[in-house]
Amino acid sequence: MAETAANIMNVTDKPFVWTRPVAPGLHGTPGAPGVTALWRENLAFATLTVRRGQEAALALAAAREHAVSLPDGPFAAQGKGHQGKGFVCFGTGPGRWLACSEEATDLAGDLAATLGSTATVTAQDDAYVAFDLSGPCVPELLAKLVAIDLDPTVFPAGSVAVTSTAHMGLMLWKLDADRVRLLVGTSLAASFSRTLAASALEYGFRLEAGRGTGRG
Amino acid sequence: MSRLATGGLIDRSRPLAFTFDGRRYTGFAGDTLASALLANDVKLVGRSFKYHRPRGIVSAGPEEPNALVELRSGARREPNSRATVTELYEGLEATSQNRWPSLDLDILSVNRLVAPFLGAGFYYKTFMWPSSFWEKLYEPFIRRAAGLGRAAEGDDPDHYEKANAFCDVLVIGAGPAGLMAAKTAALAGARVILADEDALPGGRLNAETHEIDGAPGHAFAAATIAELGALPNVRIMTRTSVFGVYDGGTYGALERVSDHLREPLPFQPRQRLWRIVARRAVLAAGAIERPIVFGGNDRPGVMAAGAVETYANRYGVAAAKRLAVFANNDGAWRSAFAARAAGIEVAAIADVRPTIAPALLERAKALGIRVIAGGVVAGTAGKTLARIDIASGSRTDRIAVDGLAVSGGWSPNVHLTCHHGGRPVWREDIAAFVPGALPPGLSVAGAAGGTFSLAGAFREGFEAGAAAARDTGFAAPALDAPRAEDESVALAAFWHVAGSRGPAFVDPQNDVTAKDVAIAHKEGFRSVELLKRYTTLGMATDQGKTSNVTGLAIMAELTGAGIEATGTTIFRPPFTPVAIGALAGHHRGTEFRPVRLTPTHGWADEQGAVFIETGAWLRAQYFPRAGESDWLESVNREVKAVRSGVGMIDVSTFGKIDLQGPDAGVFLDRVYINTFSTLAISKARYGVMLREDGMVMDDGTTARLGEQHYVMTTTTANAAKVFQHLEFCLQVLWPELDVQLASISEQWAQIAIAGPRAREVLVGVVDPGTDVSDSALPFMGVAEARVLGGVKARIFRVSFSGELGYEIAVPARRGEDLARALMAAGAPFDITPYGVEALGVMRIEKGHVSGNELSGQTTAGDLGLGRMASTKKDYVGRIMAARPGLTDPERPSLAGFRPVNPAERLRAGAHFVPVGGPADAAHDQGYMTSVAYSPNLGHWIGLGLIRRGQERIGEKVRAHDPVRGGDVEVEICAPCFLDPKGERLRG
Repeated sequence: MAETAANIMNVTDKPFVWTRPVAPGLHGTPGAPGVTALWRENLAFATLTVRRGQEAALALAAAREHAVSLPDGPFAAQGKGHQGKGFVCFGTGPGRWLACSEEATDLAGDLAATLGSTATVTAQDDAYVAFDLSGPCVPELLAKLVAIDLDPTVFPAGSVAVTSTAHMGLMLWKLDADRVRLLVGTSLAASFSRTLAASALEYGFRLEAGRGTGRG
Repeated sequence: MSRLATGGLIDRSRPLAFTFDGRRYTGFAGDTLASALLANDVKLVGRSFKYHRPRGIVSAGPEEPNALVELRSGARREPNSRATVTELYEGLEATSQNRWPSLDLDILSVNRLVAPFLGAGFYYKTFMWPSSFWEKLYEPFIRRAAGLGRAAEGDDPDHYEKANAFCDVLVIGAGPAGLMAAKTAALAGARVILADEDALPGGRLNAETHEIDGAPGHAFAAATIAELGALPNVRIMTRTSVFGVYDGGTYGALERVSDHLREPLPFQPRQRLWRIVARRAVLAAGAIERPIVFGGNDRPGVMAAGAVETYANRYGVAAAKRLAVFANNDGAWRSAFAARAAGIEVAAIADVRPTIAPALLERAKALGIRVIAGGVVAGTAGKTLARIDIASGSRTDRIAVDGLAVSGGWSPNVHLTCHHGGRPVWREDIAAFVPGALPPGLSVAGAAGGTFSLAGAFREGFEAGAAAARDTGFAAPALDAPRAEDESVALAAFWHVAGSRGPAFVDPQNDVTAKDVAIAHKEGFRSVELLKRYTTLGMATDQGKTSNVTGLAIMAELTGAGIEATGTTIFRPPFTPVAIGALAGHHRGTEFRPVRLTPTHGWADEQGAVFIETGAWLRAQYFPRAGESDWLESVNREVKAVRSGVGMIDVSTFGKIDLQGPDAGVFLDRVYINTFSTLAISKARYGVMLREDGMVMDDGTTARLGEQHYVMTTTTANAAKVFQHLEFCLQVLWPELDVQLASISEQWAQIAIAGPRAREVLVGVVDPGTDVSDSALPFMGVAEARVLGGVKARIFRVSFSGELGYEIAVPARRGEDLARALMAAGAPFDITPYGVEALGVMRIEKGHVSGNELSGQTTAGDLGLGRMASTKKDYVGRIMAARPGLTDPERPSLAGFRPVNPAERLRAGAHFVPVGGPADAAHDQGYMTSVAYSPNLGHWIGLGLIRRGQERIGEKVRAHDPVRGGDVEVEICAPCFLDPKGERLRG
C-alpha cells in the first residue's frame, strides 16, 4: 500500500504510520501534556443480556449477589464481585449491560455463575481496549471526538455514552470529574490511537502504555 | 497612500509587509487585504469572469463579488479568496486571477468586443451541436475561458478537523443585536455561544461612528465582549462563520483557526468545522448593502457606500480622494458625512429622491457637499473611475471623482432562515426581503430581520436574548438598553438607471447585466429560478449576496408583476464557501477511514507480508520471499505449500456472533435456509441465509457449543450487516423468541491451518491430553479445548481450502502467540503462512462461493446451493425466492471455466457469448465472477454465472472482455477443479 504524503499524521515530528498504533511517549506541543492517555489492555469485560421475561429476576439476582442496581440507561453502577473483586456495569441498550473490572480474572465466568439463569453472559475481555484520559485539555479533546454534550451539568461522573468517533464505535465513560475512559474495539485500537493523537497534538499528548501497547 | 493620518481600529505600531502580484506593499495589523490594498492606492484587483473587465473592491465584507484573489502559493494556494475578509498577515502573498498575461493588460478582455454574443444563455445556444465537438472543443474551451482562480496542485500541507459544541442559546453575529442577545441570555444563566465571522466582534459598531452610552460604538462592543468573555457560561467564537442550519437545532460553523497566519502554528489546524447543537438560536447576521445598477457601475472605484464608511472608520483608509455618493436612502447620507469627517472630499450626493429630509440637507450644506436631488448616475469613465455623469431632469453634471459610493438600500441576511425551506417575505416599506417561516428554535434580531436602526437592533437583541433564555428555562434579567440613536433609514425603492451608458452589471461576479435580465425576460425565462439558471445570476462564490434582489427587481419591472409576486430564490447552505478539506477533517489519504488490524497483524508485518484492505480490515495479501519476482510467484508457492504440506492464515476478520438461549436453534432455522436446530452439539454446519427478497445475503459455518449455545461465522464483508439483520429479526419479527446475541468478532482471534499435515501441527499447540484425532474431531467437528498452556480455545474442523483444515479460536490478545506457536509446531512440516490471494486461489479451485458470487443478485439456486433449502420449515426469503423470475431455469448459474488453450489468461468480469456469435448485449449469457491461476493445474481457472450453467458442462463459449480487449474460448466445467469428492477434507 502506498503511503500518502499529505497526511495529518505527518504533522508531528514522529510521523504516524497508518498500519501501526501511535508510539508511547509525548507527541505534539512540548511541555506538560494537556492530555494523557493510558492505553489499557488489562481490563476484564463481559456483556450481560437479560433473558426473555427475566428482567425482574435478573435485577433481584444482581442486587442480591453483587449489591448492584443494574442501571436502566447509560450510567455506570458499581457492583461487588466474588472475593471482593469489584466491577462496574453500565447500560448499553435495553436489557443490555457491559460489565468491566480492573480486578477480576474471569469476570464472565463469575457473572455467569450468579446471573446465568436470568441473563446471557459473554466474555469480551479481549474485545475492547481502554484509553483512560486525564489532563486539563480533555474536554476540548472530547469535543473533537464525539457529538455528545459532556458539560458536567448534562453528563456527570458515572455517565456513559455508546457512540462513535471517526467511523469507529466508541464507548465513553466518565469515571470521575477529571477522568474519562474510552473503549474501542481491539482491532481499531491502532487507528483510534492516531485519531486521538491527531486531535490532541495541539495540547501536548502523552500516550502511556498499560499492559502491552497493542498490536504491531 | 490613501491611509488617513489618524483613526481606524488598526495597530499602526505593527506594520505588515505583503505582496500583490509580486509587488511589495505595507499595511497594518488589523487591516484586511482589501483595506491594505486601498491604503496603497491599488484599485484594480481582478478581472471579471466572462468579459475580463477590470474590477476593484466594492464591499468590506463577505459579500464581495469582485475582489477575489489567489492567496498564498504552492501547495497552499487558495483561489477565490475574498480580499475583503482576508486578514492581513506578515508576508501575505496574493495574486490577481483570471487575467493573462497581467492584470493591467489582459488578452481575454477581447471578450468584451464579442460581448453581444456572450449574453444570457450563451453556452446553451452556442455549444449545442455538433455534439461530437463537446469533448474535444467546447468543454476545453469553456474550461479555459471560464472559472476563477486556480486550485493548488500539490497536496494541502495543512490539516483540518471537526468539533462539536452544545449550548442553550447560539447567537449568530456579534453586532449590536447579537451582543445584546448574548448578554441578555448569558446574564439569565443560559449557556451561550456567540459566533461571529469577523476577527473583531462588533459588526457595524466597528464600521460606523455611533455614540453609545457616551462612548464610541467600537469601545462599547469591546467592553461588552470583555464582559461576556469573563462569564463562565459564555463561549465567544470569532473568525467563525455559521454557514448552515440543520435538523434538531444543529448548526454548521467554520472556524478559520489559522487563516490569518502565514502558516498554522505547530499542531494547529488551518480550519475547524463545528457542529453546534443549540436549543435556541438568535440570528443577528446584519444586512448587506446592495448596489444600484447603472451603466459602467463595475468600474474600479465604484463601491458600496457603507464600505467607504467602513474603510474610513475601521481601517483609517480613504477609499477615494474625491468621492461622490449615489443613493436612494438616508443611510447613505450618513456614510457620506462619515467620509467627509474622515477627511475625504465629497464632491456631490446624488439621491434619486426629489425630496430629501431637511436635516440631511442642512448637514450637507454645513459640510459644503453639493446635493443633486432626483439625480441618477448616467455613465462613468476611466480605467479606474475618473469621472461620472449625473443626470437630473434634463441636466447632466459631469463630475471628476475617483470614488463613487453607491447605496440602493440594505438586504437583511436572511440566508440561514431559508435552510429549512422558509421563503423570505417582501416588505415594501424597506424594499427588502425579510425572513419568512423560520427553522424551529431560531429567532431573528436587528438588521437581519429588517430593523435597521441601532436603537432597534439593541431592542430586538434584548428581546430575542430574553425569549431564548426563557425558552430554555432561565429567567430573563432586567437590563437597561444602551442609549443609542434611532436613526432614520428612509428610502425609496430604486434599482436600475434605465438608459444609462455602457453595460450595467447586476451580478458583477458572473458578468450578468441588466440587458441579460431583459434577454431572459424576452426569451421566457421569467421565473426567478429560471432567471438564475439561464443567466447565472447569483451563482458562484458570492451566491448573489449583492445581486439577487436587484436582478429580480429588474425582472419584476419588466414583467410588471411587482417584486412580491415575483418572489425570490431561496438560499441553501453554506452561507459562505466552506473548503472540502474542512468537511473531510482528518479523513484524508490513508486515514480516509479507519482500518482494522487483525490479531496477528504485527506478526505478519514482521514476516514482510503485503497487506490489502478488505472492507475495513487490513489483511495479509501474500508473504513474499527473497528471490520471488512478483506476487503470482509468491501466491503459487503458498498454494502449493498448503496442498502439499500445511499453511496458516488469520481468519479473524470473519464475523463471529454468539447466540444463546432456549430458542437459539429455532431462531437459526428461521434465518438460514437449512436446519440448525437438529445440529448435534460439538458439530458445525455450513449455512446460507437469504434476504427477505429471496437473494442470498451471506453464508458461513455455524457451530453448536451447547444445548442453548451456537456460534455463527459470517463473511468478513457482511459481518455488521448480518448482525443487524439478526437483531432486526429478533426485535421486530420474532420478539417472542428467547435468544440473546452478542458480537464476539473482536473477542476471538481465529487462525486457520490447512493441508495434509495440519493435524500434526494442531497436536503441537493443544495442551497435553487433548485428543484431536479424526475420530475425536471429525470433519465439521468442534471442540472446546486449551492451547498454549491453559488458554481457552475453540477448534473447528472446517475448511475453505478443501484440505484437511482447522480453525483455532483463542482470545484476541493471544492470537499472535498462537501464530508463533503454530509456526514453531509447523516448522518440521515447513508450515507456510499464506494470504488472502492464496486463500482465493484455493477456494476457486474448490468452487466455493465468496463475495464475488454473493453479489446480492444471486439466489441459492444460482449458486448451486438450492438443494440445501429445507422444505420442512419457513425461513426468511423463502416466499420471495420462489418467485418465477428467481426460479427461472434460464437464470445464469454457477459453473467453472477453463481456457481451451491452457496458455490463455482469464479475466473476471468478462462476459460469456457464443462461439462464433456476435459479442453484444443481446447475446450475453452471463459473466465470469472470479478467476485464479491454479498452480496445481498449471492454467487459469474461473468461476462464473452462465445461463443454464449446470446443464452445459463441456460446452464451449467465449469469455469476451471488451474493456481489456480479451476474447478467450473457454470450456464450461463443474465448479470444482480439485478433489471433487472431498477426500482431502476427511483425511
